[in-house]
Amino acid sequence: MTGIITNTSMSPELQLHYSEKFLATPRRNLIYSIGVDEHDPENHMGQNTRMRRYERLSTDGGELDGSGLDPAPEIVQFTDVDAKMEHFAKVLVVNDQVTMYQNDRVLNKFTLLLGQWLVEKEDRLMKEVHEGASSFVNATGGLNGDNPTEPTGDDLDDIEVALLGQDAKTILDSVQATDQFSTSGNMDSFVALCSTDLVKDLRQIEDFKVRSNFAGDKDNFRKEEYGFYGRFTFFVSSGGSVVPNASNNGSNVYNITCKGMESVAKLENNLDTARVIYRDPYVVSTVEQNATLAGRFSLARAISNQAWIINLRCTKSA
Amino acid sequence: MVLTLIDSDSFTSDGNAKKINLPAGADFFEVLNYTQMATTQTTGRLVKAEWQSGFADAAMHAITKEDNADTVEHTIETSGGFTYVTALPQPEAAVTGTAITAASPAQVTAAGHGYSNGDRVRIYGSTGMLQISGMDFTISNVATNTFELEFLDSSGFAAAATALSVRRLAKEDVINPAVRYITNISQASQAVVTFSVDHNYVVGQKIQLNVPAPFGMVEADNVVGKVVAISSANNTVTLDVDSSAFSAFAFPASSGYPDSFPIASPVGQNGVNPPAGSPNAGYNMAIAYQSGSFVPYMYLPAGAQSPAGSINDVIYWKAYRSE
Repeated sequence: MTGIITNTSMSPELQLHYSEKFLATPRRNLIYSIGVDEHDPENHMGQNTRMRRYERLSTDGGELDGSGLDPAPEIVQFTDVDAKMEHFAKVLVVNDQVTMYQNDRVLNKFTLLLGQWLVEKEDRLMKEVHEGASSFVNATGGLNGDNPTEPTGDDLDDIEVALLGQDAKTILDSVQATDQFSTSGNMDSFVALCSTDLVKDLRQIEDFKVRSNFAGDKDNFRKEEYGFYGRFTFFVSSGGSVVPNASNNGSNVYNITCKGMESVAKLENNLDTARVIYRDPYVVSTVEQNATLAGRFSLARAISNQAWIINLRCTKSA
Repeated sequence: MVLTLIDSDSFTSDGNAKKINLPAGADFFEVLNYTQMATTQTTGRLVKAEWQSGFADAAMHAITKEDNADTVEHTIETSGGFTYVTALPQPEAAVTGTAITAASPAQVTAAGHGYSNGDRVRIYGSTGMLQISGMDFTISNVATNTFELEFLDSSGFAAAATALSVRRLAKEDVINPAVRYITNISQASQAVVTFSVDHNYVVGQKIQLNVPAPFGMVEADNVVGKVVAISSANNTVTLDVDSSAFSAFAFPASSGYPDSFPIASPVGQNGVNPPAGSPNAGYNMAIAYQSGSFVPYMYLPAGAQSPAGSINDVIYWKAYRSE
């Protein structure tokens, strides 16, 4: 029958109607700023920031023998760690056709996307310093026949010994046991960061405890927190560190970054961080077509104590 | 949209592929082979090529001379063209090798590998020389079917390798300064440390050594030393660490891979307080932690039908970006 308007003969604007909300944008866990030592360099202080760590004084000698002579003065030793402030930005251009139909919602969503880009970019930058500039050892206790093997409790115990032997301090407080069935307390712990690809192997470690078995109120723990073993609390992300084809068998190698307090530094320039910039359309186009949204931030990063961070390199069991 | 010329330049081909850095990005890229364009009676020669955002890797709009009347032909080529590399490249596909010699330096046989001097490769899955399986190396003396692991003295190894896999890696690090594998530490009043891959350490820098027990020099494990000299030719640093009484550094037996590899990792820099002379004496600001040396680039393969041309061709290029 002619003359009847159907869904195929409506004008285009009526054929397509957006739902009132945008669907969720995938967002990964952000773990590589957990346990870092944050600094706020002053503005106009130059490109590089220097952090200085003095070494402990010698405890040898020092006895006053009654002669009236002072002990020989000691030359203080120190290590300087420099970090260069770097700048990052992302630009989105929005045409006036979008502005005409969906202005506020699209601009709001794009602002949110820029915010997500900012924190995910920051997480990636922090991951790079964790995986590329810190020492590592191979997991050897597993049975998958590769080198390195899958992670085991024995490998993690060795790293705990190494960190404690270098006087690394734990980052997280202990979790006191409570009268809750199937839960138990946790020791104060170092932080362990890794890819979600490893959760199956983590759960196979004897005595590994998933977060649901922690004592106390589960809402007190972060969503990224996956579990606990020995002296390490594990945080996982789909963006965790992976070194492609680096095992003896050519498999991907995963870094489980185990670290103590003040081992990694993150420096944010306090007046150039997390800025969202909107530029009016007329600036871009003579006929005012295109608006610009941009995000930018500044960041510097460094390994501030190499002795307090170790990557356990491992493969998956299967 | 307006295309803005963001950069242009020229180069004379040395017969090898060319990388042109484009850190701010590009939407359109073109090259003009000035030499071939100015030459008549040269058929089948690429004289101009264009790339546009959205092209597949290695594709190009090719403009080629077809006859001695300088008639040109426009074609879309799917190989031999441009590749815009915007992120640190992942390891390439594996190449199967058949031997690593026990020699100084070690020589790898891998038929048709396609690598170049100075490339960084990862050796793994080796048979008969397990103690280096999984390590990265800078290569040199490249021939069609062989290359050398420039900074590995394997002459004392018990056995040669009879099979291996190798992948070419990005030459750049994600961050500087970075961790390096160690292939030797001398016994001397100032220890000389050799790395498997070109290092980026500088004088004044402190590095931490980690030497697993199978590599002999256990006294150097967890030792921190300051770099006092560098040899680029030998890819070594000299440390203010007296290793003369240390046990000898040696790779473990060929029959089993070691638990872990010996590595050096950056610690910072140091001097004695107060430093001599000016406030910055003894310091090198280049040591500061910062992003690695990777910069987005346009890759131009070489050859008579490719954008980087043949040896001695003069190539002009332009990069544009839309506003």
